[in-house]
Amino acid sequence: MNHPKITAVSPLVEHVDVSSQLGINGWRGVELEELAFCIHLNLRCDPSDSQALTAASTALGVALPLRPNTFHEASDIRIHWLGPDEWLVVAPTTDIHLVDKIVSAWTGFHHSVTDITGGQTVVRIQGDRARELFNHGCTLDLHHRVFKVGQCAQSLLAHVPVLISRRVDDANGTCRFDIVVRRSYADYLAKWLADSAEEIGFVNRLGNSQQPTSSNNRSQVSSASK
Amino acid sequence: MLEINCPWCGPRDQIEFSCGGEAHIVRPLEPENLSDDDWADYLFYRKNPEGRHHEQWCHTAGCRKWFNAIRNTVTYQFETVYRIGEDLPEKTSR
Ligand SMILES: [Zn+2]
Repeated sequence: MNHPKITAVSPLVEHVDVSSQLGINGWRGVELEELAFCIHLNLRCDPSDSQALTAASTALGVALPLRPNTFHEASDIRIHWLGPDEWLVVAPTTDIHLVDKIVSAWTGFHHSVTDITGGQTVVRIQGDRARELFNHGCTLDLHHRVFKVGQCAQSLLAHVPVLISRRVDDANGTCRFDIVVRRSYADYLAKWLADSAEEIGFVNRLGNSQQPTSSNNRSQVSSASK
Repeated sequence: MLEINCPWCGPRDQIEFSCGGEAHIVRPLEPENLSDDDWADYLFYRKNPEGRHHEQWCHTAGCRKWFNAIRNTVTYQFETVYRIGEDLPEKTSR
């Protein structure tokens, strides 16, 4: 990944559809954007091994969530529960040493660490009507009293396997969801999202991600989260 | 559409799951000592009850964990679900 001749390319690079459209009644339903080039790590260990859990939270700065369908977050690192012994870490591009940290912390423990960084991406959906968008193609109950901030769930969205997490709401009370999707499905999902957002209105910034350089990538990630 | 209770994730839609057939089939410890009939019985023969059936299911699109369920093959109703390794909620045989 850090090889000088290899350029990181977002799976949505060919989608480039920077458009906006008002929905019926002039709604501005959702904003779509990509959190490209994040670091994705798949972690597995025995959840009853408390020493391994402690070693992981010390190395990552975030504890592995043990409650099903929740995620923990600290200093831009998010750890999602995928299963009783499996987690997904999503971290800013700059955290290139994260994988080394967790591998050395888990030396001697029964574990698995897989760097799946290039294999998936994150699509962010935010806006008052974000839930309506999901309702077109997802059977999860995403009502705010059921699917709360800090919860995540793996399910199908428009037949695509995804990990949906409910993110911190901003001051205006608009809701925000992050969708982790595999690279090969990303373009289809982006098109489906744009199509299904038509009636509620949208601002589409998908495919607009530039490859980060070492100096600006962190600011890019944090500006995307505003 | 059925709503199936994943023992880890809670109630989810049927499309997230796949059924793995009869549960609690134990692989013989010494297959080389089995008769052909017993081996065939282990490999191919499955219960096909009308009513309560112990099945294994996988939460394919969710946590990807296998679990066991007791399902009524007539009404499709799930009586109970339990994790792999957990005792049957109630010991019943054919
Ligand atoms: Zn599950």
